[in-house]
Amino acid sequence: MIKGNIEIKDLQTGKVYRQPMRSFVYNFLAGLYYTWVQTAPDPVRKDVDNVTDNCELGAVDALANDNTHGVVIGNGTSLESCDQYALSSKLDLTEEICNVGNVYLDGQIAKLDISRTFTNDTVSNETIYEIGLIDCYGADYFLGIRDIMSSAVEINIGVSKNVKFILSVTDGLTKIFLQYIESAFIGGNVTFKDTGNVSRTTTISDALINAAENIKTYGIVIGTSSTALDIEDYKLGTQLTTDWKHYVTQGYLTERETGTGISKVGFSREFKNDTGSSVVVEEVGIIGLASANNFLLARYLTGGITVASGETLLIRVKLKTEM
Amino acid sequence: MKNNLETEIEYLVKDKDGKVVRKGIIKPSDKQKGRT
Repeated sequence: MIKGNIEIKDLQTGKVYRQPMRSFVYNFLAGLYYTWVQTAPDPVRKDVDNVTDNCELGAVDALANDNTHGVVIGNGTSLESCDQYALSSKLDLTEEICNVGNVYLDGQIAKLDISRTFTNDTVSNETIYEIGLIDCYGADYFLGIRDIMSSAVEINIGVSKNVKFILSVTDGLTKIFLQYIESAFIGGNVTFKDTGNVSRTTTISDALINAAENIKTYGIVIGTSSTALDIEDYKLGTQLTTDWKHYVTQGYLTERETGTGISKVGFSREFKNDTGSSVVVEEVGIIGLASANNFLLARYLTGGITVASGETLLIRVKLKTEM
Repeated sequence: MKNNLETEIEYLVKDKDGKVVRKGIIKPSDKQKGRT
């Protein structure tokens, strides 16, 4: 899963306001879906001007004095909804560059910090009621995260505050998955281990999982190892390939439950056991492909799925956010 | 706490005639015990 925390630090007093993140909006999953399977989600992403546009996740590392994207703050109080495509009322203060850190480990959790300092150089005290993260793809801007503050955060005249999102992944998503997010957010290189345990430094923001029939090096994959997960897993423990027919990995679900906070995307692949023996599938993975490199985005333990010889196994992986 | 991005895995096992003989749902947070 991905979860997150928000920290807003007053740079004069050192006081830090904290709350959990709650708000991946549909736009975020739609951008991930299109990147992975190159199929338009339905509905497509909607930019901050309420115009639909089909595209991948983009960069958030905006320059100073550019609040078109990156971390943004506002004083709007509209309730959270998966349909949101913009802050309800963006504040126009002085912002520094939006920093995207490198993915780091905290035990078995991988983390990524995205932060930006805002200074109130206006003539009025302001209050932060909402914060967001907007990514830029081409000339368009897409809201991916929006959170309402549980308590109003004052930013008075002359005050500077650093607003930080701390994304964390665990429970199946790998460190490399968060590095894919990092690569998308900076439009640049990350250093990771490929499935052959070789260190690579390249851009993986355009990761694909839509492997064709009988391509077994990426896409959804299955295996027989029940070895405990490690956040730094770079391959399945024991991937099943020989005498296992692999069908196409494809997207099958894009859904936004209007009026709720729920968004879902899903990916599927079918496998046929031609080995002549019954096999117990203990692990499911998602391997991405970018720049001719294969890298493990997720590995999950199944608890054991028996597939007899001649039977087929359909795996559906659903990613869901709920505000 | 809501709105983590969560994963759910659904599986269906079909026989040679395409009939579903086993199915289930795995929520990964239930299965990832005893990590190193």
